[in-house]
Amino acid sequence: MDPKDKATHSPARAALLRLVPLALLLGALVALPRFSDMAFLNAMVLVCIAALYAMGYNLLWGQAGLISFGHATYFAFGASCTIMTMAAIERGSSFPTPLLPLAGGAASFLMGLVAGWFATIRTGVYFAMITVAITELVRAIVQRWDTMFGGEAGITSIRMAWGPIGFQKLIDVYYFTLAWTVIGILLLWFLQRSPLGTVIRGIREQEERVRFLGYDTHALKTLVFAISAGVSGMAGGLLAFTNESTNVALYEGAYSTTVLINTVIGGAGVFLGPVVGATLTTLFGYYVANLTYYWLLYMGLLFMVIVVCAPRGISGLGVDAFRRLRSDAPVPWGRIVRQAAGWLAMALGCIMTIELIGAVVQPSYGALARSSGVAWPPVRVFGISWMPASPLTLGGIALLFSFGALMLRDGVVTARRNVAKLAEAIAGKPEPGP
Amino acid sequence: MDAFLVALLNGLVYGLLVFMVSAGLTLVFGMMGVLNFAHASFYMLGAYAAFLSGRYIGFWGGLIVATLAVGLVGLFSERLLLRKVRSFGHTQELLLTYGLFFVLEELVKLLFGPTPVAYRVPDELRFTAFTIGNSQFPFFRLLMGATALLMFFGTYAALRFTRIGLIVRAAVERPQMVSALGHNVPIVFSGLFAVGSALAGLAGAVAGMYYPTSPAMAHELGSIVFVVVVIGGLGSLNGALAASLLIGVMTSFAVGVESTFGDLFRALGLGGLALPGLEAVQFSSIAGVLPYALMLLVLLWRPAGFAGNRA
Amino acid sequence: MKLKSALKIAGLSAAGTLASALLMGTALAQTQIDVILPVTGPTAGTGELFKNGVDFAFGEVNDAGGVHGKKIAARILDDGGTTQGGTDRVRQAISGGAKIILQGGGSAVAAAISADVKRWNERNPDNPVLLIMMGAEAAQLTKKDCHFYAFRTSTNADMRVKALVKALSENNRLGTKVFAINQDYSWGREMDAAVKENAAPFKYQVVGSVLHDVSKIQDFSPFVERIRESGAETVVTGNWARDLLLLMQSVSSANLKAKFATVFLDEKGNIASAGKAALGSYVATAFVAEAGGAEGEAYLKKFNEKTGANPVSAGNNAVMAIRLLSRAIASVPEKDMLNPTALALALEKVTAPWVHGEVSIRAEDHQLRLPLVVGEVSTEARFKLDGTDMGLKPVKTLTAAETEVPADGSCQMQRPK
Repeated sequence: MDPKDKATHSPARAALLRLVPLALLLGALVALPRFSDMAFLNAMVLVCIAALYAMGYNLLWGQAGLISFGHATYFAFGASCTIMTMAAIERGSSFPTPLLPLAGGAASFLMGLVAGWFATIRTGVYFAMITVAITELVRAIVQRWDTMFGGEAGITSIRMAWGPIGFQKLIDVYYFTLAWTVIGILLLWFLQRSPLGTVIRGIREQEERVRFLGYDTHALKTLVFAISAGVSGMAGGLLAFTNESTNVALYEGAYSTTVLINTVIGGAGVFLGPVVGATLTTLFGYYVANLTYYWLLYMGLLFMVIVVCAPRGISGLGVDAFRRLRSDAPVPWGRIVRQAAGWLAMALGCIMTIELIGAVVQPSYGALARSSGVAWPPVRVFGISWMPASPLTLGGIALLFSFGALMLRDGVVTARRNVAKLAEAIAGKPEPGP
Repeated sequence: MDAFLVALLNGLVYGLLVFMVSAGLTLVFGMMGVLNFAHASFYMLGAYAAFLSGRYIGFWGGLIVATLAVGLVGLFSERLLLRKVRSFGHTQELLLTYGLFFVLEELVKLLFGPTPVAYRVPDELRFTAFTIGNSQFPFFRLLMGATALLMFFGTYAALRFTRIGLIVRAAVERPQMVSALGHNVPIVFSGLFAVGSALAGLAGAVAGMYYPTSPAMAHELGSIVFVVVVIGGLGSLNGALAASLLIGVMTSFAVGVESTFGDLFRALGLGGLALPGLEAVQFSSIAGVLPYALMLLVLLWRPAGFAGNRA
Repeated sequence: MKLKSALKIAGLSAAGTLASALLMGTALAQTQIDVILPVTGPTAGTGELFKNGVDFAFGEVNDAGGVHGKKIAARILDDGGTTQGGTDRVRQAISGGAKIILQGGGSAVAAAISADVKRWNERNPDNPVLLIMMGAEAAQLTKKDCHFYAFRTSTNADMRVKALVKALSENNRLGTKVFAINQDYSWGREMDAAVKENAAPFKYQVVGSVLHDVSKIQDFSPFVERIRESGAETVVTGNWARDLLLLMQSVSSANLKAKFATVFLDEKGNIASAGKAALGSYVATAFVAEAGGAEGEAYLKKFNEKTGANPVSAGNNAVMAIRLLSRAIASVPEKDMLNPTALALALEKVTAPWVHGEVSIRAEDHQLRLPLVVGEVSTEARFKLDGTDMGLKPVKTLTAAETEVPADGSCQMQRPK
């Protein structure tokens, strides 16, 4: 927090300002099952899991400044170990069902200790490449070790009731996941606020100095890696608990990629940033995937726009807006509206272009053109028929783009200035590794 | 003996192909300190560009067009995108190339569909170059290798014997110093990025006729090029060549090995320790991950790579 | 001025989108069936094949007036080729009230979806869901993992290998030395086992077998040298996509005389990408136009008109699935047309027409019985594929009885009372 903020507002008020929205959000999440259908509830379960995973991942990035490209291994290993424990419960073991995610978390923590010891010998790109190598090696072994990990078909189990809780309905699973996610995030919060958190951030900024202070920085980084892996494993355990199955596909690159994308989109620099990113992309993938075949392209474009225009992610934008609201500077409504309109027009233009191209290049479109005898038969995009070659359609798209460019033009100038300022601020600090 | 020779040759050719793609990457990496994740995408674009243009101007013309076109794409992505985020540091650049990797793959899917296109070895190149024992060595594999060698010597000569090469080498080593000497480092940089991309494009155009030209092409080549760059050492062309050849030969021989994990355990005198379910797995079935194991070892023992002098 | 008109256009398009969303809401009055496919992701190519089959087959049903006078609409849900995607789409579908789910795509996703449906049905016995796996080939789906509400309308490794070696040995093309090269995961291992099992009955010797990493091998030449040293006359492989193409490239460029017996060679793009390397290879598949006479030609033509693509590989399994399903729906009273239990019982009884003979479901384990054609990639084929000068020339058509591999009793399904 800025010292300037502290001067104008009391700490108690500031804390209240933070806690009240969080409490409201939590309340809404608790009340959600009353208003939601099964599909959305399931989506929210996935959101919780993705959020916890991203938070665990970001402990490594946001706090220690280490970007892992192979976190899927720990997520998946947590899932595998949880499902094995579930299967053991099914066979009569007395392990309490509600503690299942801890089984996954503990397993991944131990694995993280070993992997992290190797990986944190290096920093930056070299650290990233070690995580990639470890992921590949683990994947190669796991995929062949069918008796242990169940191979492609995976391992399935059934959630067993524990005392009064049946765990059979999705609503039970939702509350269970929500509770563990909150516990995990609180744990990370206290860790960040603890002296250990301070030392870890110190290592990120000036490893040499921390070492001179007498800390074994390698051991500390290994510990952080293991905790990050452990929280990710807990998230994996929640996934296994939800799906009642795991398979070796979890060990593949996609799960390493998703968590990275979530963190970038949400913003690595704000504590709850990854949660924002995880929520957005999970819901996007869950619902938009059924509307358009090109949702991955949209996701990629969104990712690039954020990397270029909002390097601190969506939560970074939010924090800036919040600061501005609390400062006495007037809110530039005109500029905000222009920016929003500009981006909207650009997005619409992009979507129309991509959807039209996508529809026209389909082989079935060629077949339609041949059978109907029309060179450019109409295509349906979002329920409306468009003539793909008509000047109206093309002109409309061109207009959207030019309107967007017009709206964003003065925004670009200010944004450049802001970016330059931000860059200066960042450049003031030394780079963590290459 | 014949089998050994054939395996060796196959390994060398594959290694040379990997080198073709890694050559541009290692130079760019050396200079900017960032692994360009989209580099493999440029390789894929090269294959598609050669496929598209080759239909009209023939195979050889396609190679040239692909090289130039992908060089241009590289130039534009450096000037329009990477430059925008450079001030935020390497992390942001890395992420941007990561995003570019996704977008390019999805764009190719949008335009050409998810299945491979009909870009393949032209029939006139489909003949036997020479015979070893019973094995015949096809000409276009030789061509792939020759292109890579040509590329190596060309790039090497350009770096070693031209003035621009001198500046580039200096900029790889000490960018600030070169800038202070009054050279326009950003322009050198854009040029190098474009050349690196063009080399990837050429590699794609040559390799795409052998490997399936599909949107997954970048993904399939995947991180192996990063592995080469890391093993070879930052910015070192020689190192990249050595690493590529080593990886090629190593994987080529590994698939011929029929022993299993169980054999390994027994050889180590740990027969009783053999993990149930794993002892029957053949080493040949995990040949694909050997480069990663090698990279891990290199990173842990000699992070500067074979030929690099700084980490 | 410019600004105003631009704003107007933005407003109009927004209104249009809203209106169309409302329209879409009302258009759902017809019977809707959810189809889960990998439209994106690494297996999107397979998804496209299924989608063509689904489009064609539902078009066929609706052109004939629908079932019970109602048209059927397919709603395609994208699982991205991942098991998680599959699980999510199943929940979405069930939450949206789906009674019938069709699934196309790989075995791993099918296994996940089948397990999800099974658990749902166990927990909600009054509201079960019917699942048809249109193209998953893993054996377990109709063995250990079978259940009453799950059906599989494609072959498995046993059936494909049996068809290949039977057709080839009866035409004296198999030789006595066979090499098996497959991917090291459940499907590849099942292929490997099937090649070894059929050695005695079809009098060949397995001179070598290899299981290799999936989609990771960059250069198959070393494997080719192993094949050459073994002196194999036929190489049986269940490889698909890249692993198949690279293998054929390596063999062709090394001038090896051995012929390939394959399963997925006719998938879109393969023959075009392999070029001459594909010549002389065999494939056991559900449809070869030339083997089907006039009917085959008509089917090929209609399919092409509807989808702009050839009916190959998994696309045909989708057509079989939907033909069987629509006949099952027609055979039950109208009030039961969306009753999964009634439909499952009906599916066990109906037969559906197919170009090369009838197809039906085996009640014991819900495995499809279908005729298969073994074709050879040749420039002399009447119908070309992939825009090349090559196509499939039939070697032999095997009837459903000939391709059938009896159930081994491992499927213990719980039937409703």
